[in-house]
Amino acid sequence: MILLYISTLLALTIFSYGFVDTNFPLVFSRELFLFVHTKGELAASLYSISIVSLFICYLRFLWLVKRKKIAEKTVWFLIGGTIGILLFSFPGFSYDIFNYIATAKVIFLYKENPYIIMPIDIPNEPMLAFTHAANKIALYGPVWILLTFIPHIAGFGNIMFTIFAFKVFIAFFYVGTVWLLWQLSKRSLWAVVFFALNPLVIFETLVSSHNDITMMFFALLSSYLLIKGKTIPSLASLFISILIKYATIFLLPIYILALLRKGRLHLSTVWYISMLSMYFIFFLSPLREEIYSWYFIWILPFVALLNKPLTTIIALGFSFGLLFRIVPFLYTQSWAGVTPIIKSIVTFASPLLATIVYVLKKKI
Amino acid sequence: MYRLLLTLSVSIIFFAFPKEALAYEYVLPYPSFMPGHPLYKVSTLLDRLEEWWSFGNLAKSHYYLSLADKKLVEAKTLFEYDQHLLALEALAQSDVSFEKANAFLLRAKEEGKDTSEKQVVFKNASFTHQRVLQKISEMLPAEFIWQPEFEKPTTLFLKESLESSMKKRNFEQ
Repeated sequence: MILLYISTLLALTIFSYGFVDTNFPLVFSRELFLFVHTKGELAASLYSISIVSLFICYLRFLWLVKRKKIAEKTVWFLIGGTIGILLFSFPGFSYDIFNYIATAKVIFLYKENPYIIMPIDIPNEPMLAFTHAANKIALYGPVWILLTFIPHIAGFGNIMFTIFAFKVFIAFFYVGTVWLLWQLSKRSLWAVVFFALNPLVIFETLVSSHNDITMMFFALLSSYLLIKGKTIPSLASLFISILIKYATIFLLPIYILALLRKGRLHLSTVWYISMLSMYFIFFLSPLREEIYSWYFIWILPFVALLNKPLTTIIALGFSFGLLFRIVPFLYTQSWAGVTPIIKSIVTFASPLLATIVYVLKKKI
Repeated sequence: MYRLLLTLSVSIIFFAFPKEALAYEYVLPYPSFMPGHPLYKVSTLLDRLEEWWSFGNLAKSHYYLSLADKKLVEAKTLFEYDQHLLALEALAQSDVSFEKANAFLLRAKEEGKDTSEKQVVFKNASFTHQRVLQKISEMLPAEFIWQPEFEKPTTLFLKESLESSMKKRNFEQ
């Protein structure tokens, strides 16, 4: 199973280089690019097989953890191996990392306010050739903007170094989040495996390098510090989290409640309400644009900490379905037409199906 | 023969008139709070905060151009209400802001940023400002004696001020 898992990760890493933009200054594999963009059915199938394979391995690991048939060392080895392999994947499935890099350049290289000046306001910026949505001002909070100084500097002005720096930077927060889950769950291997090896988490964090993991790291850090009795640093951590991507502002009510009822509020209640709060904002996201698969990272840490069968089943269903949102685009090479309908179907079909199967199984 | 003459006449008329309308794509904002309004000072404070927030030469250029537009519209409205003294103050602020906007745009260019698109916007803005100033100039007398109730009267040289403002907006990049 470990061999299958590692092989799938390697295959995914290679596959990711087929999504390098045509205007990207470095050419990796023209054949792979042509394969992805001209043989849509095959590319979609290969992608789907990789996701299914990852999920088979993931479910097997969860089963082994449940039965206490996997050593702690093996779990850390798997996490380490996952990071080690996927660090070298190309973040071609989503363009967000290029926006992070472009925004960092606007403020730290061009010394302009990224909340006023968009990347396209500097037409001679070379990144514009392969950056999508460059006609937007900074979408993220000021803390995220400031944090991006680190990978921006570490990139030394070279696009590949900068991409790698951002991936390493995000990986640090991935490791940090996993460590916090380990601590908050009182060293539950289940919680660690559920989150750390979740295909949606590893795909959207270690491949696509979305900054949601950074936001959740500080949100969980806030809970950890509150439990340790460090109220001010805990509050500061929550505000840092909010000022990264804003979504965790919906954790404020439960945070205030936990603060006021210190010691008298059961932790599982806190995780449950936190999970519901993040589900609430997750389902509201179509009001702004659409439900993106990486938004589910906001919910998964609390599901991991809760460790309840129904919430786990629903989360697994969403994790599976959300990763298939890109498949209709791979197949049709278009975001229009039937793609939006199929995206909605795959998003909600698997959690619904999983819940029905679970409920029926319980009744039988 | 008649058709040829008609075609020629229309062509001459068409090509003789300058196509300045094409340059006037720049739209000024609606009037904001006027002096005397309870929220005028709040608006001024917000302008100050926005000045601080607009760091970077392009952002500063954008800010000062917006401020120049705002103050020009304020001046125009005040002139229409015969508040010439306040109007001239607003016009002076618009002049300073417009010059600063240009200066920051030049600085951005010196930094190596491609400002060609911004310069087109700036040129359109200057055309629009000049047109507005021209219209104001046509409706006002050359001089106006401002007579406050318990103070000495002051002569306001309106046309002179407006011409000076128009000259300041006649720039070459």
